[in-house]
Amino acid sequence: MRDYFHFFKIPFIIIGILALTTLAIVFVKKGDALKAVSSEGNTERTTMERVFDYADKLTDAEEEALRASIREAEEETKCDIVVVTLNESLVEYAAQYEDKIGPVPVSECVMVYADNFYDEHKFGYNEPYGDGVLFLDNWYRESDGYVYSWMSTSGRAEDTYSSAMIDETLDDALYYVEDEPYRAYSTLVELFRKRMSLSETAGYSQFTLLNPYFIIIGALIIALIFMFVNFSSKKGKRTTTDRTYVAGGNPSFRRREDRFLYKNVTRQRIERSSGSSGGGGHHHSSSGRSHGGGGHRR
Amino acid sequence: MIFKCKNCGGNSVYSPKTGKMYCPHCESEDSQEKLAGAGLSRCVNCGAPLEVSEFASAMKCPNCGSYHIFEERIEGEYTPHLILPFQISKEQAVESLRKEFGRRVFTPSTFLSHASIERMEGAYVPFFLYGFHADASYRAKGTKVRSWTSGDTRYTETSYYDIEREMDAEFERIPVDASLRMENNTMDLLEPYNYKALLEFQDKYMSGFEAEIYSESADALQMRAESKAKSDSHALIRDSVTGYATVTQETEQINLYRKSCEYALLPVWIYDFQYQGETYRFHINGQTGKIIGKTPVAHNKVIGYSATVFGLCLAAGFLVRTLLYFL
Repeated sequence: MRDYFHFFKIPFIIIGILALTTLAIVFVKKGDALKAVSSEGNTERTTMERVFDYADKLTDAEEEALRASIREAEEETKCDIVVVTLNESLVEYAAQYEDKIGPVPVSECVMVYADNFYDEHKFGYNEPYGDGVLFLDNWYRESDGYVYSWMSTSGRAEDTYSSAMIDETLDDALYYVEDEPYRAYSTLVELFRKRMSLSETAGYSQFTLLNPYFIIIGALIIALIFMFVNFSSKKGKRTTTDRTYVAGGNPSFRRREDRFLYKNVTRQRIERSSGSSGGGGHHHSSSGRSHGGGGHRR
Repeated sequence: MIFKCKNCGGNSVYSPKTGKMYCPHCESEDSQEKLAGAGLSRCVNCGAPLEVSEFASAMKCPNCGSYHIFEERIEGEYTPHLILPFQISKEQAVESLRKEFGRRVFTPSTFLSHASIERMEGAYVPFFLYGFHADASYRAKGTKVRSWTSGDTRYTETSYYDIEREMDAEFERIPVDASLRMENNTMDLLEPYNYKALLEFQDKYMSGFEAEIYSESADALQMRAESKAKSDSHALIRDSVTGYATVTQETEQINLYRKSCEYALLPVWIYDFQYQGETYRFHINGQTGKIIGKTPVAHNKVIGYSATVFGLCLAAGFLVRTLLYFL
C-alpha cells in the first residue's frame, strides 16, 4: 500500500489541484452564468416585445399564445427568440446598405432586414447583440416572383446552427405557412427550442474531443498502454558481438573482391494527377456584427 | 579443505571488494591458513555430515555455515587452468538487482526481501574456453540499384556484381559452460566476461563460494563453441559485404581448427525468488554485474495500478472538460 501511494503521489496531487481549481472556477462562473442568463443579462434591449406581426397574419389570441411559447423557449434555451412578419418589398431597403455590405441579390434582402432588426433592437439573451435568433417571414412577392423568409442567428445560436440545419428548420416549419401561419411560426419556435436544448445536453459541441465517450476510450487506451509497458519483466539481452572473441577484434581478409558483371536499365512513365477543394463561411451585418443565417423561398 | 583465520579460528573467505582474504568474525585480512578437509562426508569444522552433490567442488556447511573446498575435486584432470575471482560483492549484486527490478511497477513487493536475499549464493561455474583458427571462403551475387527521373520517365539501373571473400579469423577463449545444472542459454546471455582479470587457478579464491567441476567433457562440448565461431565467422564475412541492394549467397565454407582449450571457473551470483509456489531464478555475472532473469508479475498489482491509471485519466478528462466549458 505504501508503494502504491508513493507511485501515484504526483498524479494524485495533480488531480487534486485540478479538481480544486475546477471547483473554484465552477463556483465563481456559476454565479456569473446565472447573472448572465437572468433577465438582467441584457438591459439594453429597446423592447420587450418578441412578436412583430407587421403583415397582420396572426390573430391577437395567436400572438399571445406565440409570446407565451417564446417566453418558455427563451427560458430553456437562454436565447432571445424574435418573430417578424412583413408584407413589403425589401429591394430598395437593402439597396441603402450596398455601400457597406456590397451588392445584395433579391433573395438576400431579407437577410439585411433581419440582421438589422436584431441589431437595432439590441436583442441577445446574455448581452446586447448576444445569443438569439430572429425569424423573418416577408409575405411580399418580390419582382422575381418569390416570397422570401430568413432565419438570422447570433452568438451561441450562430455557433450551433449550420447552414444545413437552418435550411432544414425553415423547410420543415414553413411547410404550413400559407394556410396556417400560426402553426408555422410556433413550429419554428418549437424546433429551435428542441435543437438548442439538445445541443446543450448532448455536450458542448465545440469540444468534440472531450466528448465523454472519447474520454472513456482515451482513459482505457492509456491504462492498457500502462499495463503493457510495465508488463515486460525482461530476461536479458545478448551483449556479445560477432567480434567479442576475435583476436584484435578484426578478422583478416586474404581475398576481398567485388567484380562488376553487367547492368540493365528499365524505363517507366510517370502518371500525373491533380485535384481541388472548396469551402464557405459566416457574414457580417451592416453594423459590422457577426450573424449566421439562411433563407427560404416559396 | 577449509580456510581458517589464524587470529580467531573463524572461516576466512575471499572478499570481492578488496581482492583479499578476509575473516568476517575478527575482520583480519590475509590471516588465513589452510586446513585439510575430512573427505566428502563430514564438515571438518563442526563434524556435521555433509550431503555433497555429484559435481560440487565447494559448498557451505548447512550446519555451521563454513565454506568447504574439496581437494579431490580440484586435483588431477579437475584442476582448473584459470579462475576469474568474484569482483562484485553480494551487496553490489543485490543493489544492481534492486536498480533493475525494484522499481518495476508490477514486481511483487516481497522481491528482494531480507529473507530471500539471505539465500543468495555466489557460485564458480565450470567453463571450457576454446580457441579456434577459422578459415572461411564465401561467394555471392550482389545488385546495386540507382534510379533517376528525367521528364515524365523514371529510369531504374540495376548493376550486377560477383562477390568473393576469403577470411582468416583467430577466435580466442569462446566460453561454453560445462555444468549440467546451469542452463546453456542463460550462461550465454551472461557473457561477455573481461578475460584480463583471469588468473592462474588458486584454491583460496573459492573460499566463501560454491563451485562445481565440469560435468561434460571438453570434446563433447566443443560443438557448441564451434557453432558460435561459425555463426560469428558468417556474420563477419557478411559485414564486409556492403553497399548492395540485394545479396544472394552462392557458396560458403567455414573450416575451424582448434588451437586451445582451457578449463576455467567463472563467477555467477544466483538469487532464487519464491513467489506463489514457483521459483524465479536470477543470474548475475560476478564480474560485470549483468543480470539475466525474469521477475514474476503480481496480478493484484496489475489490476489495482491499471484501474487507478484508468480512473486518474477519466478524472483528468472530465475535469478538463468541465474547466474548458466554464472558461
